[in-house]
Amino acid sequence: MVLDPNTIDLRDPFGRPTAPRAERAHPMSGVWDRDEAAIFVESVFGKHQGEIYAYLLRMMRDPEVAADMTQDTFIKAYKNYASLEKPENARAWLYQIAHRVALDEIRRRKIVRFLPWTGEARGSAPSAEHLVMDARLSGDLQRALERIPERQRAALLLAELHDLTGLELASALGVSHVAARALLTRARESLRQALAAEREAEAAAERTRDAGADPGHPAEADR
Amino acid sequence: MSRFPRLRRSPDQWRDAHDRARVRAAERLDGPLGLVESQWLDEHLAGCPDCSAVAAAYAADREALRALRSERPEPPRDLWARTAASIEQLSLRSEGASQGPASIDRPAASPVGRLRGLPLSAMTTVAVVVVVFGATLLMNGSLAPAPVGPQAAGSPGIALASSAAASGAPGAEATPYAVKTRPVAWVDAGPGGVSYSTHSVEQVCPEEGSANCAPLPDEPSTKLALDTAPKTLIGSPSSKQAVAISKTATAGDQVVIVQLPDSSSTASPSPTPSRSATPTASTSDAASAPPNGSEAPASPTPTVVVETAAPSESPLQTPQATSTELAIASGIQVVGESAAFSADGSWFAFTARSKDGTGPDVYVWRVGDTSANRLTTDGTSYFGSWSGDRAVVSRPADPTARVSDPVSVLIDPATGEQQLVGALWRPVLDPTGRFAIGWNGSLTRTNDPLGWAPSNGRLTLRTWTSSGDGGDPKGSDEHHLVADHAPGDFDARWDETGEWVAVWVGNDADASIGELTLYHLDAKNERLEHVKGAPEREPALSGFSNAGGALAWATPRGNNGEGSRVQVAAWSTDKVGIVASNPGEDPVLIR
Repeated sequence: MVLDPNTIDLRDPFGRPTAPRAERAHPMSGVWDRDEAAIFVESVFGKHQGEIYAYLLRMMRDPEVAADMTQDTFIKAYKNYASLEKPENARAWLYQIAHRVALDEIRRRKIVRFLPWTGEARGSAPSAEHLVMDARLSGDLQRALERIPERQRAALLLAELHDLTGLELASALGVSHVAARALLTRARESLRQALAAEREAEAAAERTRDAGADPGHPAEADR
Repeated sequence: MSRFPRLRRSPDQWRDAHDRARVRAAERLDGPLGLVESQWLDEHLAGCPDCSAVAAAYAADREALRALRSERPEPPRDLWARTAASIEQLSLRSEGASQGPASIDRPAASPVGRLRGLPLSAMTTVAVVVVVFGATLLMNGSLAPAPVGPQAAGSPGIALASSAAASGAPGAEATPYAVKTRPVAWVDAGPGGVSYSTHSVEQVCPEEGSANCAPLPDEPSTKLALDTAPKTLIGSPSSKQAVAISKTATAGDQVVIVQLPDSSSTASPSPTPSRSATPTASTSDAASAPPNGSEAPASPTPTVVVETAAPSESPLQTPQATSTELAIASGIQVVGESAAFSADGSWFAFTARSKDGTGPDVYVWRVGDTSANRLTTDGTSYFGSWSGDRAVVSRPADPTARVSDPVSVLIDPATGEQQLVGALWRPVLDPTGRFAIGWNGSLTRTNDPLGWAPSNGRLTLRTWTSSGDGGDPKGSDEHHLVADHAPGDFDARWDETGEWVAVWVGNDADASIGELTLYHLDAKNERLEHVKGAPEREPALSGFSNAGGALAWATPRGNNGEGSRVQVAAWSTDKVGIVASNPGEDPVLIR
């Protein structure tokens, strides 16, 4: 594979390459070497599958969905191999693909808005693994994360848990440097407010329990 | 360690000192502030317990988040096997379809033989999974289906494959339901030129299952007499003509009037056999196809409308607009997405920079004239919308400042008479003239391109009166907020009833794409509502239509190279359903 260190793969927020299509042709005169792509994807899979899976799991909170989406991410990486111009950008590029996969899925299912957070995303009984996940990730913070807009959540997860640097973060989120920082700033404020709301709700529930309320009328007992 | 370079933001852009302190406190977590800002922040925090608590909360939340780093969830052990099998299948299929260069000089290898370098454990499961993935991909229709050999035949699809799983929960099939016919029209750029087609949306699917909904049937198209695909097309409300704004290679933008074909000629089936493999037979047949698209594998992915056109084979499909094409402006640079006809179709207005680079100014074209005229000459004016037959024009109140509040005026294009109507920037009025959506905040000067852009404020619903901006609607804040940040651009379009408004908020990094949301206006309570199933922050290219009970927009190209689709949301009194076209070549909706 011929790699041109002078070109950078920049994408817009929705995964479209920012360069016109004609300019994106693979350096090897448009020949798309499938074997090479497969080998490359295998190597990045080995290196990054764990973190990509963890990111998607944190976004979606369903191990099965996260696994499917991780698979989808690497298939898309294979299909779009020609668009990766610099191998050293592979990590941010993979996060960018995973981020798009996650946002697409969230948008489709509106999981954040329409499914109760504690519920099983697929309507079946929660798996043992899922229950373990829930135990590990439950709590104020996780619920608060779930309440904030998904792009803000993604920005926080990528910056704080996945340690993406400023450029990587902007690339993964598909926005400019400045926009990524602004998004992160807004995300911190959203999370603070969501956490406060979570804690307030929890405190209210506790007061209700302390008052020995009739479970059928918890809210009234609080008043 | 700094995650970002320092941001420059001038002090006069803050709502107040507390706003500034909180933003700075959050930013400081991601990198050091400048010395001045840092000192200012420390001083402010020392004297402001509230902001100090907020800053402490940011830091604590960050630590709590980072504590989650220790969790390292394990992906399923068969993940690579599944992925490798899918990739192999993809590779086989593309080679089978194209006999591309990668398959030359290579014997027809078995899947396992080709996947050299795979972990042994992965290879053992390949043979099984290949079959499943091939079938599910076809069912999902996300790839061009092609014969893939014996493995694919008769294999029941199990929701193992990522594509199928990622595009909707397995089993979440769409149940289409009928709606009153809604016409939607767009143009496509194809190898043969620019094609126009109209589509009748007769059934849609609930939003939850829309990913598996049978696509809009392809319709015959008609060539338009345009050399290049327009970036914007705005249809006249009163006649079959449209304004096309196209970018030329050397001479800026061209604004051209085109006559749209009579819909009766495009809606009827082509008299010559279609070259597309897709049956174009009856709309109802195609529309009643199973929603999961399981019929799709029987034929290749339906092609976009341009390919169904057969130039010079049929009188119906010869260019119709040649004689009526009229350039009303050229060499200019059209700015923003607000260009529009007045409600009665007698005027058209848009914002543009002139040939010599001055502007932006507002241009108007009186239908029937041979060219558009510049309505403003101050070089800082933007067209907002029409208020009857007067143009609402917005500009900075102080064009010499770097940051300014806006001011809007009504201008009568016939007489040039002006009337001040408040400080809402680029208000888009509803048909009743009682409400407007616009930028309520400050503007900042931009250098590239030269002009003015929203800075600090919000994109909101406001009340409107005959004397202009009537202030905040009643009801809570959230019910009139459209965006709490400065959009790159925005485009709001009310439907003819004034009950539904779609707002496109452009991305600040790329002006051509943004997010589209459909709101229902509760006029009595003066609030915007979101109806379940309606598009909400859907990625959308600029340019959408909102009329006749349907909102249509084009999605950005997919990450996997898939073309844009036209998505249509159609509503009845209580619900909104969605249907999409097949992927196409950058369709442009007629607004």
